[in-house]
Amino acid sequence: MKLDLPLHCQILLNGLTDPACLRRYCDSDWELLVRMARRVKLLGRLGLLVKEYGIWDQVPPRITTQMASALVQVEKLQQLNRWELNRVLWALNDLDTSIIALKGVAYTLAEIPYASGRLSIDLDLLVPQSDLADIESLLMVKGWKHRPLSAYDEHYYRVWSHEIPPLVHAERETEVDIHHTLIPLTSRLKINPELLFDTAIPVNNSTIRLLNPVDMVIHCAINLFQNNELANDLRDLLDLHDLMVFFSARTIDFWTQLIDRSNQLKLSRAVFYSLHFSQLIFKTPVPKKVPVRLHARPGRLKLWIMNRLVPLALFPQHPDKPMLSASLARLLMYLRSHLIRMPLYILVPHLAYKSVRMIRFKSRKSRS
Amino acid sequence: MVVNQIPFEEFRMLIRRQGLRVAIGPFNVCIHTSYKPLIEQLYLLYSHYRIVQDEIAEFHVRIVTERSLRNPFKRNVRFLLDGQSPFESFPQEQALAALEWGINLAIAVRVNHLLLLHSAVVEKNGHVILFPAWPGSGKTTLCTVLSYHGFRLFSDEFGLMDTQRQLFLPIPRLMPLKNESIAVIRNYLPDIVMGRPIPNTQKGTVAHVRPPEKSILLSKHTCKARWIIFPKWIADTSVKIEAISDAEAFMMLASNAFNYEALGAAGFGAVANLIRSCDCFKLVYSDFDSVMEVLHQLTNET
Amino acid sequence: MHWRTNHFETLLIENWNEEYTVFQPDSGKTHFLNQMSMEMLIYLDQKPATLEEISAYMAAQFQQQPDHSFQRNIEKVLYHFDTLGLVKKSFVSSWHGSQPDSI
Repeated sequence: MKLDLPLHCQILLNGLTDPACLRRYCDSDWELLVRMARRVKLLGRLGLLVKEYGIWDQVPPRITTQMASALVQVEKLQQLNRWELNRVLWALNDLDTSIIALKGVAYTLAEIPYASGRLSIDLDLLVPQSDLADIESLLMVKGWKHRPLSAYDEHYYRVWSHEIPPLVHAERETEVDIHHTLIPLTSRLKINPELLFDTAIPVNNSTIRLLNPVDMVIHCAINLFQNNELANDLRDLLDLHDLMVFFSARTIDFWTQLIDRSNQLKLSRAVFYSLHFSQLIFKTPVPKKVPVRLHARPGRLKLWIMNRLVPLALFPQHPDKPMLSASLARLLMYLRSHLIRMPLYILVPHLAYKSVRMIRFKSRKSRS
Repeated sequence: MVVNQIPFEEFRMLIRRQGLRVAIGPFNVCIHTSYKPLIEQLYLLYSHYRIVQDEIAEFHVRIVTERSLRNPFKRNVRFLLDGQSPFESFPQEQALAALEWGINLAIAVRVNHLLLLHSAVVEKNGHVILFPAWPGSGKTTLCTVLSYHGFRLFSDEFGLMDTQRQLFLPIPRLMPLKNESIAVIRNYLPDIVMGRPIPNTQKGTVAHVRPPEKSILLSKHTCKARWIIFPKWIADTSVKIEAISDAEAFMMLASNAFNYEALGAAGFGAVANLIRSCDCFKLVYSDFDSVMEVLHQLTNET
Repeated sequence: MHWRTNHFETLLIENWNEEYTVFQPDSGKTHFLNQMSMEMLIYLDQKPATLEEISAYMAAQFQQQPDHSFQRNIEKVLYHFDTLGLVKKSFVSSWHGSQPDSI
């Protein structure tokens, strides 16, 4: 399958995957590239690439100042995340439990290439469900608080979600999201978190642990194709690409492990889409025989539809000329993401509630 | 080419079609709107800005009109930054205020290659005075008066500092006067160009003062800072200026900046250097004549 | 139980006539410290100390009575510094012992 992208998306994709072509970008290409990259949280990444390829000084100054600004922001958020993790571990020092760092902080600790350019807003942790109550109350004793929540949201988190309501320390701003599993409880898919803890990997000089490489990839995959709505999530697909490139080069039987684990955890559909779209968009070197060994591959029609919708949803809209087809793709992906997370009898009232709230709290959404 | 060198119709076409690009201090802003009352106000208030159609713009903003959800017969305006809406919509008569706040917000959340202090900034004899914002400072009002009385306006809102070279960058924007200060300034400076007062905004009534032409003309001329003065307007007091401790000035300046924390060690170093190279004061005042006398004295001493 | 400093060597310290602004790279925060707090950090950076030792030293330095209430105040400052990550508790008697460091 060939990827057929509108011009503005090509400008972004080429800039991210083939920095050599940036030498040929004219001012208006650069201007559009920066706006699009910022929209999908990849402006810091672009800045790293431009530096790495040694073309920083050849880029228009009005572009480098924006990339420099983005890199400052990225570094600040990463520092805040590291410190929040430090303080969480400090607060839980006396508790005998096991804590796994997820997403951005985990990528930095695992020294994934380009992790230093990743914009990570919240700190995500995975803890054993049996220790969840102790951890939550201990953190609250030591100064963390829940943001004010409506009764509906409280119910949503406590009964349906795979995480508790976010915690924020009274003197800081970083949100701590504490997960007890990786998939919402309402989803048809179930996962046994003990399997994740059993194979987690310790980090030098710390009590924090990381998911093992294949689980890290699988978590990223289910976040993107199971838990999220895909709109503007190009960054997350790039995370997947980075993880797979990095781990496959260091672990001999990485792909076999990935397949076996995905099948074992019954999460091979999301993993299939991840391999497929990462390969399609970022040319990830996935061996040919890998995807066919995954158990839950989508049928041909389903894949045909996804091929048309997913790229349109992942890439940002043109900031001045949004396309109707891309909006439609986003809407469909939004509905799909909810449909696979929740049974209909929960979903319909949930979406109705959310749409009312979206109108009321539109201004809050601009945060991320 | 400057805005007032092109006819209104051409200005209107630009801002409606490809977007008007103007140089505001170190930044280029691309503004799109079809809302005619706003275009008219901008033609007057932005008249001294340089048009930079073929340069890169860092900020792309729009004011679009839409129907009000509550009252379908009423029209609202919405501010968009790169197609995203950071605010609720505004009543249409607040279009100019929405645009100006929106541009300020865009600068405040995005710019990290410079230190952004929350401060009014003016220049005299080649040196900059900072008037940091703190409650009751009346910095915009004071800044308006000074910028029309022998001081060069850098900004009424942003102390933009290049931390490596320790230089301040001018960013002369419209100065939004609030409530009582509108009439005060009209009396004190009857000849300046001011937009229509906009009532019932989140900050009360607001009227925008056009910055002096010369300040915009010289907006590439950067300067080092020499004085940091924390002003406070108190009715019927006689003017008083007194030194404050460096540590106190440091904490007040840093805790009130837009991106001090984001800059990390670079921000800390920059503020430390700034404090070391400046004299820091507290200023209490009530009338402009005496405050200007004090400031002229201070700036001419050296 | 001993107290010791936490990454004291990474702090950026500006001295403004016996008032200090201190940048802590780990947290990204800037702290405002008076002479007494700074003295305490410098003392703890030389060697880990118990609350009693710190109190005795500080009382001598600042000509105070090392009574119970003085000690209580020192303790409060220590706990506050612990929250900020400027100091930490150390249960090992030899401070060269390698405690796993948090990140």
